[in-house]
Amino acid sequence: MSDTLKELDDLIKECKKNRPDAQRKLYERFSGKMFAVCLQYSKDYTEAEDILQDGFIKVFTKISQFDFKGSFEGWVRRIMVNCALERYRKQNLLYTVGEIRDYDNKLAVDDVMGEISSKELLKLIGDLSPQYKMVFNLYAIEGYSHQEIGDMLGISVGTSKSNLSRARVILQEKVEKLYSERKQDVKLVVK
Amino acid sequence: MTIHADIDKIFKEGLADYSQKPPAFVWDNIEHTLNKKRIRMRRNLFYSLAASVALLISFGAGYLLTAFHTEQGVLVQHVKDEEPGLQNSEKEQVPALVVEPEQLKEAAVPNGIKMNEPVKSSVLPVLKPVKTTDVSVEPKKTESNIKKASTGGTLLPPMFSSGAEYSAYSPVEESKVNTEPIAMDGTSDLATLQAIPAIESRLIQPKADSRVLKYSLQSLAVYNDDYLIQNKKNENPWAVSLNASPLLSYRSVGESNADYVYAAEVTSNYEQEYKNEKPLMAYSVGVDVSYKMTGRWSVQSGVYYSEIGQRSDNVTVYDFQSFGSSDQSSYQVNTSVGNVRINGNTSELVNSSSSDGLIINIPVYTDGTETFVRSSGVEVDFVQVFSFYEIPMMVRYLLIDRKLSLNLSGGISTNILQGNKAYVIDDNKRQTLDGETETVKSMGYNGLLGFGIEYPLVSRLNFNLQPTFRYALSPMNDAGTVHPYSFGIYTGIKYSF
Repeated sequence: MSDTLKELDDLIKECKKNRPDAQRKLYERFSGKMFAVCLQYSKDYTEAEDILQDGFIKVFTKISQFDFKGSFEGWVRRIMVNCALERYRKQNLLYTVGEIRDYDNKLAVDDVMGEISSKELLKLIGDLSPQYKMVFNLYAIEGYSHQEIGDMLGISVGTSKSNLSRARVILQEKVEKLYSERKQDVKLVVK
Repeated sequence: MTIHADIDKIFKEGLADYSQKPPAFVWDNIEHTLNKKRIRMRRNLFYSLAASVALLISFGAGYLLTAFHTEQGVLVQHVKDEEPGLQNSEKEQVPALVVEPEQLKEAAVPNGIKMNEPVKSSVLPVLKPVKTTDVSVEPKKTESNIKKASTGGTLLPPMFSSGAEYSAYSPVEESKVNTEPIAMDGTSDLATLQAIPAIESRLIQPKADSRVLKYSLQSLAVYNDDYLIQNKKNENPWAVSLNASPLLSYRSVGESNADYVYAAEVTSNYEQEYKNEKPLMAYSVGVDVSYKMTGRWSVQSGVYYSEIGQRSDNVTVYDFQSFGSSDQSSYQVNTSVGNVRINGNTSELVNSSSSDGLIINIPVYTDGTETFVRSSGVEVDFVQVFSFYEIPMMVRYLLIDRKLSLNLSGGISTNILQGNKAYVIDDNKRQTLDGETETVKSMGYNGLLGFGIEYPLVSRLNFNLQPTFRYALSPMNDAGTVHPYSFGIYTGIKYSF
């Protein structure tokens, strides 16, 4: 076990004993990444702060359940996503859905990433409607299936699929536009 | 140049290592909340400990009082030996309080004191004190002596075998105890040792105080106690009681389970913290049988029918079909206990609770492949009721054994779920809905704690009043987050056989 991992394990063990110093260190270690996750799922900065706060309180109160079998960061991330989902369920009951456009979801070139920053990507996701944002994040970033997403959000598999399609179209358009602004001579294709 | 992009990959990889520092106050809030939780945990621990100590003290004090009472016979011997006010010489002058007939037969009685022949074992000898220091009829500190002193019906308190003899001693002053002759002369020998059946002496009240009499008083206490104990032995230990109580019931909720509460929150305006929920007044009625094990301890069991539940005000519910489900005829509401799925649609609620209901019109949306048809909703007051058969097993301890007696009781009960219903309130009346709370466990266990008062009404019939608190030891729902509790003041009658 590397020193870093051992150090993390020790920190978790201290947190399990409810030690305030250890809790602070753990927060400092993961808060940046988790705040990014929260921003990804929230409608604005304030909501992301609230999710982060609720999430870390849950992390510290449930940390005794962490059994060191998987990635701790993954465990914390799941808690943050769940907190975001809870908040979403409370606030978002229904969203207007526009027409679906055909698209090809298997286009693959990574060059785009060099031109668009993470912060800009985050903003593009943030501009999506709450349900599209949820479905896209859960499917594309977290890797859940449509069945799982349907269960989480209380929607059908078909709705989840159509929401994902629509979210992709919107994102592709925006990415294309942004990319085109940076690279005048290169065209990003979205069918 | 034209390139093609995989949009999922762009976002997944683009955001994988992204990090942004949150504002400092977020940690301050987290720290504050965690500190509050720590304080609450410590406070709960303190209250639990305090309650345990209070219970231990109550039971301990009761036990010691009982023990003191029943062991007074033994104390007669101990007090005699340990009386600090008596010098050795004085001790010698104190006559034996308990003497076996066989001892009397063989004893060398000094200074002309004569005795009758020993009496039958069923009657008792009475030995009077004498003035001289030569009195050698010392009590044997044997098991048999002590035992006899504490067993009822066979030993009469010394010197108080009859009113006449007591009168002869009552005027003796303390200062004269050791100097004045107090033994009868030879002509009165018959009076110096008498045997009187114990049943005739009953409970004798002494009327003089002297050091010598002090021991006799204690002996008398032993006798009185023995007499009472003997009477109590004739009591039938069984009793049956019928009780009923209104129950104020509510629940404690743990952390909400994200995987558990998802669906109905989308179809209602339920808040995650379940602030809409309120306690519900229900009832409990039942019969129990008790068996008195000792003077103060008894056990009891029985069968009770109890209802508990909760009320939720101003809940807006929407038809479940709104979210593309093929189920076109149900809706659900999420509560702390679990999701309540109700067959039918909300229009029934609108019709039934027209005075309280509020129709919320929401347009129909279509996303091209499916239709969102959450077309209407209604705001209702909503009640969940759970009924149980309860089988309690309790231990009761009598704290005060007077005409108005007080007792403490504790135990556990096994609960078998009998009914699970949901209602809406319509013009202050309940309208039953065709639905139930899902994932409620069919069996559970309660911890019970009660404080009881009993008062005799007529022979064998007592009036009972018992405030009782019950807390679910096992969670009520599958998610393991909800522990119902209730408080009731049981009243009823108890018949002792």
